[in-house]
Amino acid sequence: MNSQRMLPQTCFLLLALASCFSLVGCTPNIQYPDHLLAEYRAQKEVGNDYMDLKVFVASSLSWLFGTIETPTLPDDLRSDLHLSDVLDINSIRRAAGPVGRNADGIESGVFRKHCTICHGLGGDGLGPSAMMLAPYPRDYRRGTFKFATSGQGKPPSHDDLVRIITDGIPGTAMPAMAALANDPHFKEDIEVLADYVVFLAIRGEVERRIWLEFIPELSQEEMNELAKVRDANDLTLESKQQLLDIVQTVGERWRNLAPTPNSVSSLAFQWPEDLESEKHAEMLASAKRGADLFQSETTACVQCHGATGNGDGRLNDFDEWTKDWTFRAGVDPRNPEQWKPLKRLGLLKPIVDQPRNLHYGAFRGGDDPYLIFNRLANGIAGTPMPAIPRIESSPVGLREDQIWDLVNFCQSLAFEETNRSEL
Amino acid sequence: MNPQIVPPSPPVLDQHSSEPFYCRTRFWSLCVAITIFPLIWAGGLVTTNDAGMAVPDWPGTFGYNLFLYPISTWISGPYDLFVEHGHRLLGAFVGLLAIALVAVAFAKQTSKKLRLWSLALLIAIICQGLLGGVRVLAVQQRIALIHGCTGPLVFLLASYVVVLSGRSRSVAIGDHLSSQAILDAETAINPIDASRLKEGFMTRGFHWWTTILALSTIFQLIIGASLRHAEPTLKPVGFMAITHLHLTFATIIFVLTVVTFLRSWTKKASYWNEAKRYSGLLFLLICVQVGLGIATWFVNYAWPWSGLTADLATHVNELKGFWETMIVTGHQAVGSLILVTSFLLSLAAWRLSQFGAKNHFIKQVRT
Repeated sequence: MNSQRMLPQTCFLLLALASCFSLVGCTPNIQYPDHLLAEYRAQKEVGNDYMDLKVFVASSLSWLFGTIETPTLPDDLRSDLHLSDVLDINSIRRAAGPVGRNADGIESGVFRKHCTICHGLGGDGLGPSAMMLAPYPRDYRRGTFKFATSGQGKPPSHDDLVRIITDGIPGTAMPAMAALANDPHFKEDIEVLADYVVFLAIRGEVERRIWLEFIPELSQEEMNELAKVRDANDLTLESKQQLLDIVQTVGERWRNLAPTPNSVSSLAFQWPEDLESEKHAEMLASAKRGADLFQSETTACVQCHGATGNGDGRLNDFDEWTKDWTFRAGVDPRNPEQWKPLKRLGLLKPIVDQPRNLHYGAFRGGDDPYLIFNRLANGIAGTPMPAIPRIESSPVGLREDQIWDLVNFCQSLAFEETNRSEL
Repeated sequence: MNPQIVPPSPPVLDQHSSEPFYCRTRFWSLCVAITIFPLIWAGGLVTTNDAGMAVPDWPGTFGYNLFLYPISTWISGPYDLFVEHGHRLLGAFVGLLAIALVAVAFAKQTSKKLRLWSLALLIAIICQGLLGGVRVLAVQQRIALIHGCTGPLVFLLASYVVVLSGRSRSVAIGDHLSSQAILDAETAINPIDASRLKEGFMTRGFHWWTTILALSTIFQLIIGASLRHAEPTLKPVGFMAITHLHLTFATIIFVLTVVTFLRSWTKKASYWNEAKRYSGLLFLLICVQVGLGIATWFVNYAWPWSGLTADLATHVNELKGFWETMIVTGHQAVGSLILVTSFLLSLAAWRLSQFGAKNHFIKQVRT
């Protein structure tokens, strides 16, 4: 071989190959991905009478919410939906679509730029990197979000979403996007993203309900009719009305969300500089009371978090997102033979929920005492972490000040190394 | 000494005729190669910041001529626009340098080969610029991937022209001699040296090892670019497969680098020096790259085992933070350096197996 020719020839060949690729390589037509797991569950529920209604569902969703490039709100279709109360269509259009700027320099595709790689195009938590992350990225389509201050069982408020996007989630792939808020050119991006997350959650939940509530209720005749739908123009007035009812039910959950008005305890845990101070002694006493509550049967914290708060308690429960497509679809998540066939539909390997090791001081939903109080009082949606029963509604419940004692205890564990003797 | 074998005499050199032209070509080719590296870095920043479409038109910038876009608007504008427009300006500057290189190379006394490869480099730079333009006008992420892959290849081409301009003279001197003729002649002069020389010829597949290494870096570059430019429609299982492939090739490249490093550094003959330099540099770059690769994953996707320590559990990645951006972009830029170094090592190894001893002999004869 002539050595002098080897390198140039290789270079040239590779450049030529690359040029050929550039001619044939085109980005595929991008659409919101279908909810295959919901379809699977609907199919199982309907049984042998099931007809392929994928086109009907896709047509319904595009009629209601537009396309991924040009999203719309169904408010124009019926005046009583009021989604524009919680969503700004301009924000949604800015977040959707391909990444870039228009001729006026206005940014678009903010969600695709920052979020799609993990959360996926439709907020299904099935972005390209999803399988390699722990924990898995959130699937918005269930309408369930872990960190909300709006009350038990309620979706997060706009402020909750803005806070999570801004601060990120410690120990996970969710980054802090505070840099965007601090840059005058991108300061609106976080608001835009929060709006789009809500839009995707509403759209996803409507899709889910169409599959899991609307379709299983259909008669064979109605199903035959809907199977003939080829686009939104084929939708009957009746089915449109039913779809809008679903949107209203889902949309109502997202309206008038505000932080629950908890009184902020004067004992909010902060280690003062002066360890001899009176406040410090007061806090230690509160943390001590919290430690007793932590061990008590009323709170049952030790069952999952372990006797010492190391997170080494019971480890055999799954989160609601996993249960949706396993237990509720008659599939055992502990049996790979049963769940593996669902991987092609987007099911990620079921992973047992890991209770938090409180000694690390890693509070994923935020380490502000008020936020910890909320998580104790309202539970963490979608996870085995329950809401602590309140004395107002249960004879064995806790008072508000007792929950604050627990908050102080949880925070004190993070300082255990330096304060072990005093506690 | 065998009196029947007479060493071939080296050709008579005109010390003054061609030298200045090679010097000038070398200068301009160095300028091009050195400027391409920051261009690659700037391109990496464009990808890291998703700034590829920050300017919607091409070849102009928001309706302005590329060179006339107001500097104040550029500097004070959004960061993605700053990076993208900067990348375009630097690309145009590299193009101008390449034109200067071709102009110098086409002076009379340079070799035809050098002229042709300088021209090829200019064409490659123009094509690369056009590819970037097509990416913007067609809004095609896959073209961005190809643009990202061909960038380091243009860098490689520029580096080759640098090497070519530096050694054209010495190679030209020995081209008419066959390896066997040199061995015969060397045997006639000094049988002991000849045996050492023969040992130098015996690369024992070293050049093939380096070739596999160089080709592996190309594949690794493409795989890495596929991760960087992953389509939003890519399935998680596809992304995982590409990631595992990237790790597999990283292992292959690391092992091959260690092998070539050890093989070259255990040789004592002076004509292995070039291979030693390249393999040493490559080993250093690979070590840096492994660290950057791990850090890149961490700053992009965090550690999947965050429960191991308190530091991992409490760590929050910062979106587009300075260090996050530099680590990810650095991983890509060092990748292009590895590609170039591995190819130059391969070239040195092939030359070593066929021409190295010849040149060495000629130097001995001349002295």
